[in-house]
Amino acid sequence: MPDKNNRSFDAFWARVEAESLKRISKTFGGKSTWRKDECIAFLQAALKDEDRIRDVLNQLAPHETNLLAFIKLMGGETESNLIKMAMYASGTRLPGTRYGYLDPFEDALNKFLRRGLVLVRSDYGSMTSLSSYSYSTDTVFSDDRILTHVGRPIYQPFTLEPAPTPPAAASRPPHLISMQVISVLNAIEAAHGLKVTLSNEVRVTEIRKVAKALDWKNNALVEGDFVLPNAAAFTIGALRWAGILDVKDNLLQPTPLAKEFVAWPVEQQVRLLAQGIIRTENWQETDLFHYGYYTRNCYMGRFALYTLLHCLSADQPAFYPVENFDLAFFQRIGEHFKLLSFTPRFQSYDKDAQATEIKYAKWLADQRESWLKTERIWLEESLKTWLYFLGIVSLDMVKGKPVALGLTNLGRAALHPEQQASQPAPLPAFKSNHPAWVVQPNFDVIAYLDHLPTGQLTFLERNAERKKAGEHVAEYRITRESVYRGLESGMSVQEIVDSWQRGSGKNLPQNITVEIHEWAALREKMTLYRHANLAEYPDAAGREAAVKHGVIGTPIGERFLLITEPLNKAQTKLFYDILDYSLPPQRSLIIDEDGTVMINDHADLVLTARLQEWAERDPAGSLRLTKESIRRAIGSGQAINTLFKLLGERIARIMPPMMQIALRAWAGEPLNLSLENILVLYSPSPDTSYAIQNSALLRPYLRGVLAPGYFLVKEERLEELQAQLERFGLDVQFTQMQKRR
Amino acid sequence: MPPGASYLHKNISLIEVNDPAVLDQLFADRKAAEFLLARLSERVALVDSEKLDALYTRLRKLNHLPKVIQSLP
Repeated sequence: MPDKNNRSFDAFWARVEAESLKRISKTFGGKSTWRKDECIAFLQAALKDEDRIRDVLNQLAPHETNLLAFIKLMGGETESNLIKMAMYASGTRLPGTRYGYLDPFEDALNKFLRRGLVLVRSDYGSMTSLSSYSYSTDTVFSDDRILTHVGRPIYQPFTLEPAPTPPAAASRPPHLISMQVISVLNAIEAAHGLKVTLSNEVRVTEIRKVAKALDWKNNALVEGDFVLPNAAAFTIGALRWAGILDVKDNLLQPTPLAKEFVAWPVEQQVRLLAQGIIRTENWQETDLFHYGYYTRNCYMGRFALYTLLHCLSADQPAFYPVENFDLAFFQRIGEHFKLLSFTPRFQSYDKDAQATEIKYAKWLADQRESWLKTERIWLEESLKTWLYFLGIVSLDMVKGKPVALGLTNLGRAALHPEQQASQPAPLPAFKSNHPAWVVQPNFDVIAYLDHLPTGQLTFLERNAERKKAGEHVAEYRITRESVYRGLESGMSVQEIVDSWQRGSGKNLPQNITVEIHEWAALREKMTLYRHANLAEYPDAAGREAAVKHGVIGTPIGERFLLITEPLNKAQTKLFYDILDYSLPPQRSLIIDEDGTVMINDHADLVLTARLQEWAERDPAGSLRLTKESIRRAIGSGQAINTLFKLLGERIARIMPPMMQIALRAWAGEPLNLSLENILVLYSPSPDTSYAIQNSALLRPYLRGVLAPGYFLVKEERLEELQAQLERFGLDVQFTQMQKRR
Repeated sequence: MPPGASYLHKNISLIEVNDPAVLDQLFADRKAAEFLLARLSERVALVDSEKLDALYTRLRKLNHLPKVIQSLP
């Protein structure tokens, strides 16, 4: 989600060029003769004046108002290419020539940027003009003080001949959408968040875990003839972009908005999810296409399609042949959009208008031919996947292909919130006098979906296992696992029992109440503390003294206290040292060549515990790495690399190389040595030694110099060496041992 | 440790059980023991924070229903 706090124009005016500021000041009723600082002061005041802002907005051309409306729809900040698609798909009329050098939208946006109601997010370039045309995209944003006075976009309806209502059109029951979202949020909560990569992308294995938890075979959600591929990635992507999930502490987890979201009416959920899926890069409608560099085209297409659906009649249910809908889609965006490549722009400078029209018609026919091979297929896949699974469209399917489409009641409610006030509620209203569910003594639950507000659906999804869901009724089962899940979500056992009773309008069967309490009691037998604070004292008396000073906690063993109430400043000062294990570990280890381990940070419980797995304590109490201690650790299943990793992270001084070798050898790595007899040429005379060492003729026969006067001889070339030395007049004497060899 | 010194260990991971025999079993279970660093008392053990999720998965496989407390004050 765009950062709302970082869109106030006040923070950016100083970065706008003086000439542009003068122009913008004029837009807001100022003078173009002002200095830059005068312009900034004026604009800061102008944006606090609601009447002035309204006056400026009232003077905008319809296409400029729509441009702002689409930026508002996308959260106040979005890519210019997305707005371009929405403007064309919505049928917004743009000034500018069709065949000119500039794309009419980019031309219009560039002119609009000069007015200062929208800025380009740019660290170095201009904030009042696009950095490029067509090939890439700029991010544009507007100030909330402006957007608050901007309404919803205007969509130009198109006239499509309706098809007869198909006898068996398929649409997804609205509650299944809420169920899908709630179950994914539950799975993420149960996993305590999903791990992300360094670039904050959710790891593929984590996505698979969610799919497995929800029993989505091959990571696909299958409902009748419809298949949502990569369903976990789809839901996670949509929720993330919608701001329901976000990364915190290197984990993707529900944001505070999630609790509100699950209780929203389903059409409001769908509206946000659709905006989320439009921008999700890690999910695709089909694997038929490989986007490569053009991945972003996919969500430009999605936004265009989503915009186009707004142009269908919202007044009454109607079906349209996909064939006709596709043609209307092409007519709106076909010459500005290609899914798998850059869109070439038709340009003509021919003065003969008729010739230009002929060329344009030919060019457009080529575009259409190409569209039918790619974009049309993608459109059908979009209808079958995200638009069906978000409950927006109803489809008439023939042999697995959609042949006609219509907006569902939910789709109309989601796309046209402005019409809801004037029309009867499109979705079944919750009737509070009817039980939401019946809990049977065999733990089965029959839920009446028409009587279930989304808040209670959330309870149901978390506290029972869904077995089957139809259009009006769903079957669930209360299990040990589901009760545990409910408790882990923060409910007390009494709250769980009360909620079941409230929904069924009567007391639970007694056996179920008893069993829920028994399952809850199992959870009290074991506790995992993720981020606990533990006080360590030298002895029991020290701990007792701290408790007398008001430190509150649960005693552990003789010397520890698990802190259960916040410590005040005075109590914190009583500690000799505070070790925070959430901070990067310090390098506090030194290891000698004899294996003795010295820890500067001797109080580090984790480091000491980890080292104790590998080292033994000598009589003086010091830790020492020995052959026996390493072999014991290896024997218990440890890998030596674990020790090297620990040492790599915590060692303060390079470990003596021989100790490194010893650790590898003790771990079982074969590192054999052998003793060898060698042949040494000895020269007592320094002059002779110097001469030998610098002789090019003798070098091939020698391996090296051991010490002054001692040369290591290549044994296999001894005779050649001897002959050469003799040629130099040097007599070589052999020792007795050499003579024996 | 200087004589009489006390320390505050912040953001540490622990497992606490009602029955010491359960902790004995976990230390005897090769896969679970891999995540346990040291026994602080008969009912409490220090857990490798980086492997808390792996321990949780193992505990669930062993049919335990651990209460997970994200943070204490």
